[in-house]
Amino acid sequence: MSLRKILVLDGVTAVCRFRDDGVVMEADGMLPPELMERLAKFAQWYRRMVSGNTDLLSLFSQMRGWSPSQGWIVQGDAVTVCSSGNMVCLFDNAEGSLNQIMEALTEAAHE
Amino acid sequence: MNIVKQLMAIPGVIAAGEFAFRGDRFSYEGALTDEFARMASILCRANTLAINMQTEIVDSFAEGCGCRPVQGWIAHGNLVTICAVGNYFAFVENRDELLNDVMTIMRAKVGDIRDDLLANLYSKIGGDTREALY
Amino acid sequence: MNLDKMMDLPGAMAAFTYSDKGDLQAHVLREGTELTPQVLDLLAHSCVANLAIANMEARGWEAVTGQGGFQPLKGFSVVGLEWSVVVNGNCGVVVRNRDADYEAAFKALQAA
Repeated sequence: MSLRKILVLDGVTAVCRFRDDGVVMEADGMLPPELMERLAKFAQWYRRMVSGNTDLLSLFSQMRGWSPSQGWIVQGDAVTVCSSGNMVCLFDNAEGSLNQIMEALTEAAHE
Repeated sequence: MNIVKQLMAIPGVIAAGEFAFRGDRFSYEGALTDEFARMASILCRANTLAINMQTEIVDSFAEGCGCRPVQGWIAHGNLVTICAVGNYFAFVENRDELLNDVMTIMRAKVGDIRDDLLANLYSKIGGDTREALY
Repeated sequence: MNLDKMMDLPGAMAAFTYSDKGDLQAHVLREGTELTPQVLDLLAHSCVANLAIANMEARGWEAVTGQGGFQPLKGFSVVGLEWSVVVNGNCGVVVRNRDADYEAAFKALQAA
């Protein structure tokens, strides 16, 4: 799936596919390149941190189904940043559908 | 002598070991069972990843302020303290002067951690990185 | 909370207090340090997160292994390249690594 297919979804302002070291593989949207690089790096750190904490939760709760973590969502007042696998996306809360965007990100991450 | 053995030679050090990016790759010595050591390495990795992300964020607001690359962390418990430098960890009893000694030795022996710590840890994974841990 | 007293710790560059949410409340900075109130505010937020995670780990560890000794948690420290931040409760201190006395810092924070 090309990033365009995600970018055309309502409310999406930026979408990016990043490498394991946080480097941008491909990106599209209205963020300047420097901010896109920061977004990719932040997303990769966040992915690692969430994955570490999920492993702990899984360990201490002895409950299956948490690990390995698949993604994360941070919802702000007006914007949301969400990620699945090595995809991350920024969208306006007023316009975007979180479910639809997460579904598209997950699909793109599994390609 | 390797770092873990040197740490274990200090009276009051309960256990010491090494962890990789994946919690299922670890080595240790001391008073932990294999399962507890695996848990310890998962715990240490989670904290190391978390503080790496935080220092990256702090650094982006105050570039070159001296926090990055992060060297390690200390969780100071009631009777026991866990400390980690790079990908080494130690469980130590809370005794006078012990924590400072352990930290000094770990910092000196492990050396300054460079920016590529996580890349190195990550490169040790191999195989299917999506495999479930449990 | 006497922040000036915290600044007497070896290598202290800054001492600060923060709310339960991590907002910076009061601070003292050593003259000439590169640290700013904005950096301290960010640090304080990360410290709240780290203490919460460490508490979760202490609880989980004790529950699963049956080993005691971690709770109540008495502090957390992040060791950076040149300096470390040591925190407990709602108070923290930033110390230069080459002069750091972690035990003294944890002790001072407990007394605070």
